[in-house]
Amino acid sequence: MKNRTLYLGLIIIAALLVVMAAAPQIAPHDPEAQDLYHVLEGPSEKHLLGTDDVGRDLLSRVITGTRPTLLIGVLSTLFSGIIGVGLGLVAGYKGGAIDMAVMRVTDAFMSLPVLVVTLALVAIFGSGMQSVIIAITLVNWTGFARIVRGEVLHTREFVYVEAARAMGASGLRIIFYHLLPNVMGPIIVTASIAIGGNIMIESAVSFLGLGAQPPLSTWGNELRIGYAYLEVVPLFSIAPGLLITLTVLAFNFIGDGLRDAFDPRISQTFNKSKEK
Amino acid sequence: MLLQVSNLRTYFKTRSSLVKAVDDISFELDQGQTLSIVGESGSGKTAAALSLMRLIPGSAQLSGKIMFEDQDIVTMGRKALFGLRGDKIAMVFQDPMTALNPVLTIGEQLIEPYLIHRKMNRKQAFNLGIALLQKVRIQDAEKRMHCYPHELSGGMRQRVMIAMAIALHPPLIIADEPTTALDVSIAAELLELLKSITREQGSALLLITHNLGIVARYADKVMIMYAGKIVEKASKVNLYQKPQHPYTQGLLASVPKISADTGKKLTPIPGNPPDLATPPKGCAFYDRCPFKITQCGRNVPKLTKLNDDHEVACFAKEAGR
Repeated sequence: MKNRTLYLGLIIIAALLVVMAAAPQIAPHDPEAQDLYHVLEGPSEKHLLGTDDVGRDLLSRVITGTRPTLLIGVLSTLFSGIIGVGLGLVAGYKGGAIDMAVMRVTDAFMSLPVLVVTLALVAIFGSGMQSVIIAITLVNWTGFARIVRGEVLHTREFVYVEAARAMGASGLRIIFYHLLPNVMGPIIVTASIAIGGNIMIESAVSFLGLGAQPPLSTWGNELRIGYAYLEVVPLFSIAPGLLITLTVLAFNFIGDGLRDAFDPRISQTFNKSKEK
Repeated sequence: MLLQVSNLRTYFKTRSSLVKAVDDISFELDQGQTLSIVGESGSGKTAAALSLMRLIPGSAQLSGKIMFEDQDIVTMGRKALFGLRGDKIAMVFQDPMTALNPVLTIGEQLIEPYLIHRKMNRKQAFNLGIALLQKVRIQDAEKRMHCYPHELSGGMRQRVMIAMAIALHPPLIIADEPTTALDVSIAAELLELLKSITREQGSALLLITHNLGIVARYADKVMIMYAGKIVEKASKVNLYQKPQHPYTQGLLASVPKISADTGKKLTPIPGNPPDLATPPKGCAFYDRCPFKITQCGRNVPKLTKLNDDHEVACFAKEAGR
């Protein structure tokens, strides 16, 4: 089968989506129910992954943590995608001074460190999901802008763009109707890799205690709290850690697989080198 | 008079020089008339055509007058210009392989003129699109509407381009080497089609080509361009029967004819056209001309009327050779 990694990634993400959607039904316990007589216990028949520092069922916590974790990853990618793609399209199509201005702003934003921006936003808006999403968006749109601009610079030279202009199409129409579908491939690839990356950033931010606040559970949160009890109940942080790794890996698989699928040159050279 | 171009100049500024792609050309076109601009690569014929719709890059300098239906396109505002493109003047491009967007279906592209200029809904436009495809004689029109460009042959794609151009019955259609990328038999078929549709709709046709032998024969009037200038302008009959400019004569002598003696060799024109960034002082054809006189190297000849249907820019001609 061609492109095995793509399918593997898709299967993992599909499974995660099922877990996310069915979380209330799958979770064996109320993820917020505390049981102070059974704190920091190892795996048992009642608690498959054990319990946390206030006696909540870890498995249930991890399962319900899927939703906010994926939500942050997807939403921050969506927002940064909208901003980055929009600016990249305009900069690439218009060229000249507009291109110059947009790209310098992009450079400036690229130099922002995510964690510092998050700190600043947390100071302004308070900690929570919104601050994390805004911070990631602020830094991450630049990748989309650069890739889209580069693609458009190449695409706008095709005769069909001139033909569209000769037909009386406005700049906006050419950008969204003619150019955007042609650069969709790289955008999708970038987005699927970005979701994985953003989940990583979320975990890092949560690990510092700046992300979503308890009692809401995200994988990064679990990881942070579990870290303190690593020697007592290793699974407390290993379980969410493994899930983060698996998810990021799955999104990267999808991104790489799609890149191969979209770019025939890569798969051809790959096949040729295999034949040798 | 549908179109009256006077003293049109299109200059491109490069880092080191000024390229005079179109240098002071004037011509007229009546309703329903077919005018052919003939010239080799780099003669400025495409630049002239693009200038008519102001499709040239912003860095280019455009001057002169392009009166189209009593409006000057050179000074026209953006809004009027966008309304004009596609609706009043439509263009058929040279290479049908690249002139259609590969990620949109034929239908989606074909109905664009209706969506842009007539604000129709998709359903109405789609039905008109099918009729358009039938008009350019594409079989299974409805099925083809859902095809992507790569599923169609070159000839079919050019038919689609023609269908797009005639969609709104524009008074003027510009066809920039519409058959260069196609093989000869399909080319003839498409030219006939283009000609019959424009006649039926009453559209004027500006046919740009380097093919004096075949394509230009579909025109009423023919204009020969060389190095950004018009060197000869005549009715078709006059041009083919009594070519005056040495360049035109050279072009005709280098085209194979079925009627000619089979043993006779074709005569090429020696040399190459001048570099437009460093144009010669006198006549641009000077270096290659077999009839040159001293004046030719010093001054640039102007178009002079020989009779009502014939103008030529040549000192040697004026001097009577």
